[in-house]
Amino acid sequence: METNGDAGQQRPDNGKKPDESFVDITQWLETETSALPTGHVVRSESFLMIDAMMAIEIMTPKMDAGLVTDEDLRTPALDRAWVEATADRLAASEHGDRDITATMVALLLAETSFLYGLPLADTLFTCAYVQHVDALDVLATDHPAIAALRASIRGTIKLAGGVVTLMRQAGVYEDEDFSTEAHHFDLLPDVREIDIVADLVAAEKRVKGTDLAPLVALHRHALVAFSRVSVRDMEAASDAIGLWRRALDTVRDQVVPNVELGGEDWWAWGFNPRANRKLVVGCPPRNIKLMGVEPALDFWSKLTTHFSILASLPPVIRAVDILPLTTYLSSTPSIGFTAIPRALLQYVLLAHDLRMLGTVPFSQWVKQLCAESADPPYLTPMACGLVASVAVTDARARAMLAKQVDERVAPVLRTVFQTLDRNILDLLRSGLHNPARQRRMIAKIFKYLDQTQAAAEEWDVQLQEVMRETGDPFYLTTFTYALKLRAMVHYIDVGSSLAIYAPRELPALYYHIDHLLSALGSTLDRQARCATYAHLRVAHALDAVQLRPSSALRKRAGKTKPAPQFAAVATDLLADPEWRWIDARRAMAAGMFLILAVTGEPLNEDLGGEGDTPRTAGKGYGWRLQYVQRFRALHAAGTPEPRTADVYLADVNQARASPAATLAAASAHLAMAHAHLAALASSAERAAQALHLGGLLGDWAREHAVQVVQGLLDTCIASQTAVEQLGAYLPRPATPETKKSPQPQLKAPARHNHGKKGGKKGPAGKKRGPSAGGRGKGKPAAKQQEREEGDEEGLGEDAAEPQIVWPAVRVEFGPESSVFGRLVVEQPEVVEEQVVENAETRA
Amino acid sequence: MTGPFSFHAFEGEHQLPEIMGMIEKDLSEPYSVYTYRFFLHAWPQLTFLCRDDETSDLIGVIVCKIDPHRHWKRGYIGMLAVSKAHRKRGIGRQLVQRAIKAMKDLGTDEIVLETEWDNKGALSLYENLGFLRDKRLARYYLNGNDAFRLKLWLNDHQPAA
Repeated sequence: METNGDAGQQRPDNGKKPDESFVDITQWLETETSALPTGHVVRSESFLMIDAMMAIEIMTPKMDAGLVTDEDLRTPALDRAWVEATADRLAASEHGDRDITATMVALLLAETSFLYGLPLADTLFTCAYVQHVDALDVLATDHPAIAALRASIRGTIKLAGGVVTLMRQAGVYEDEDFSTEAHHFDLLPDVREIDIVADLVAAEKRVKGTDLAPLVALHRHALVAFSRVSVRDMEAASDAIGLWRRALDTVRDQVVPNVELGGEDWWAWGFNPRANRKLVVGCPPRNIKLMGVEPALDFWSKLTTHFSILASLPPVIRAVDILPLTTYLSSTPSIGFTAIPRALLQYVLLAHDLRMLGTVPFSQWVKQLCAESADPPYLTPMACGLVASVAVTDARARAMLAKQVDERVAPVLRTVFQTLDRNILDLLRSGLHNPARQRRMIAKIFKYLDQTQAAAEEWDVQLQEVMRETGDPFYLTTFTYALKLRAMVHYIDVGSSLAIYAPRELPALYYHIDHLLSALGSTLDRQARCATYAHLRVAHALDAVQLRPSSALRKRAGKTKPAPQFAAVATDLLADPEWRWIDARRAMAAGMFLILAVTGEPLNEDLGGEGDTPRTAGKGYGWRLQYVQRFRALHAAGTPEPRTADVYLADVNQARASPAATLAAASAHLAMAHAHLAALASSAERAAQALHLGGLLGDWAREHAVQVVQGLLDTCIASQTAVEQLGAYLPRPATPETKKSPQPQLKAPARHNHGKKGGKKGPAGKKRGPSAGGRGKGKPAAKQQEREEGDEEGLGEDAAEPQIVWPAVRVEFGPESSVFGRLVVEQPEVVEEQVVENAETRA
Repeated sequence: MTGPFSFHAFEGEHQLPEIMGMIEKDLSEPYSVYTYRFFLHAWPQLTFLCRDDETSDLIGVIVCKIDPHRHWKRGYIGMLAVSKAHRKRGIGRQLVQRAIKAMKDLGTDEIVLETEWDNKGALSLYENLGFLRDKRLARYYLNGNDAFRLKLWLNDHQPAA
């Protein structure tokens, strides 16, 4: 660094140890930087761009984490001295118990925020009591309320420490889900859990009968439940969970209503949100908002439910035992992304069996699962079919076939499986991620599956040649295609849980769901045939061998029996429950599409418009582009008729051309869905099989499955009601009475006029989208509706054909409905004045 | 205040303080002055201002950029702010429309932005202009809130095989 003569400073000599004194470079800096143009910064190897940016922001409150602001100056120094003085004051005050109760409730919210995934430094350890809990040791001896506070804080810290340790060990968390950063905080690693529980028991006794007791009990039972699950003491864990729930109910019903925490400024309870600002992030600083009371209590409630379920599970011994669990974890909307972070779910899952946890990351278990699943059931029948073919031929033919399989078929199969392995691994992983990542992973998965499809076909063709069979590629092709369809349905479902889809996209969404589920249903048939065929082939081959004189072959055949799982696979695949579940959702989608298509917005305008301003949406702005981009991946399904934007438009217009027939068809679809869902909801066993939860022991799985099915059934019933309401808007047939007396005027929020003049019509005779029935002729109607200003499609009074002005129809989503919301028709209000006018006129 | 207003192109560095002042008042995330200069110096033609015709006060601003993204051009709306007293007058919508047109004229294939998942006003504004929710980004913001990435496609660009 050059010295500036004007500054009068001496430059330290080279080779001498510099004095530890500051050198004022202000003048030098001003002179040197005056040559820099505006917007330029100094940068070098030892002074990077980020350093330059941070230097610019020094003393800027929003960016400088180390800046002491007025807010900091106003906040009392919440240090050890404050803790001691405040505890003294509370112990002596007649309102001390009330304030300590409020402090403990605030601590509960901070703890919940941590368990939800926020850093310790921004939650628990922003509280001075937590930072300096040992400052309460002396007072706790004589004052029960202080003892309760101290014991609860230590219980909270111990629990947090346990969670952090386990999450780090398991290695399944991601920063966006859960923070394990503990900085230098003392998480009481050397204090035994049993001692802390003893403290809590003693403290609870001392405050029995007060509002503090249930709060202490809550912390005690939560700590016990966590620790008992960790060591697989399931009986103790279940007891603790029950007591935990009772304490939670008491806190919710009796304690919280009496507590007033005040505004966002919690320094009275010892909280300073800026306390650890320098630890958490360098730049820029921000305050984390702690969870509110209701969401926090709801969170704990869901956590106890989840613990209870997992505590009841049998031990997970093989990696494949994880499968039904991941199905449950990824498919449960009420215990999901917004309720409990994924990482914490995995904590509970993995804590369930220490034999499984150990020091092996969960990802290793997933890889083992793939290894165990190297022979998926759909392929094993085929392999056995090959063996059977070999068993009935003579030795030379047998050797030749085996050679052909090894040389021609096996290498292709290895390539296919290498790709499929990754897909299976990714599919499993996707179920363990938060839904946002899940969705991105699934999109990649079915791109890879697309690439695998060609190789799968090649393998099938080669196998067929070896086995002297004919026909379309079958076995492996069917398997990979089914995998892709399931991934696509899951992709749409996850998007729904993320609230990705706009209301105007819903018709197209249901259109695609109908398509996918129809294809999936057909694929089940194919898979069943695959297994059945192989089973029959093997059985036939063995029968033939029995008739042969060769004792060697008979002896070999005697040991070879068709594996029972072949027949079971066929039965399982054709199992009524799963098929019903697929068809129920397909029918729901078909019905929802038709309703929204016939009552929806026009689709006859594209991006761009007149003048230099693009047209606003709500008039079909860019719908075609949106459709193509949104559903591009789904188009890759490659089923016989990919549902392109033009196909979609044609089907929508066909639905609108015959509103009465469309409503009737929608009604029929919903009735079918109703029948399937009612059948499933009536049997918990079947519901569990339909949702792939049959492999899980315990009544909870069946109860959960019935809950999910019932949720969809309720949605279906509501939508059926909506369809009936819409029927009132259809033109009524003209009768002598209706011609004489005009109908009461209905003031409706006029939306979209869809008369018989439709747009593009689909090719006649080719069934494509959900059936809207035949094109019937609309009956004349006499309703004259108010028109919205600027409505371009309204009919004048001289129009020859009546137009239907539909009411607003929207889809309302609930916690159990997943992608299927319920249709809600916004009923118009009857305008009384106009009815009276008509009566007077008649008079 | 319901006076007339008009829209203007960004003129230069001298407007930076008032732009920063407007944006810092309303947006949840703080930005470094470097960030402002990054946008304004590199893409000045993608910043539009709205002024009150009577007082010449700045009442709205939008700041954008365009970058290559994989094999196509992606526009990005970095900041949009309208002063509280002048909301519900369509200023935000018109600023966005101007920005969209400018980016479209520069050959942009798509436009994206992020907004907090519970920012109903912003979601309504952009969705009415044809944006869709493309992704949900968990804990995207510094305060722990999730974000939606909104996207408007301007043409049917396909990713390279």
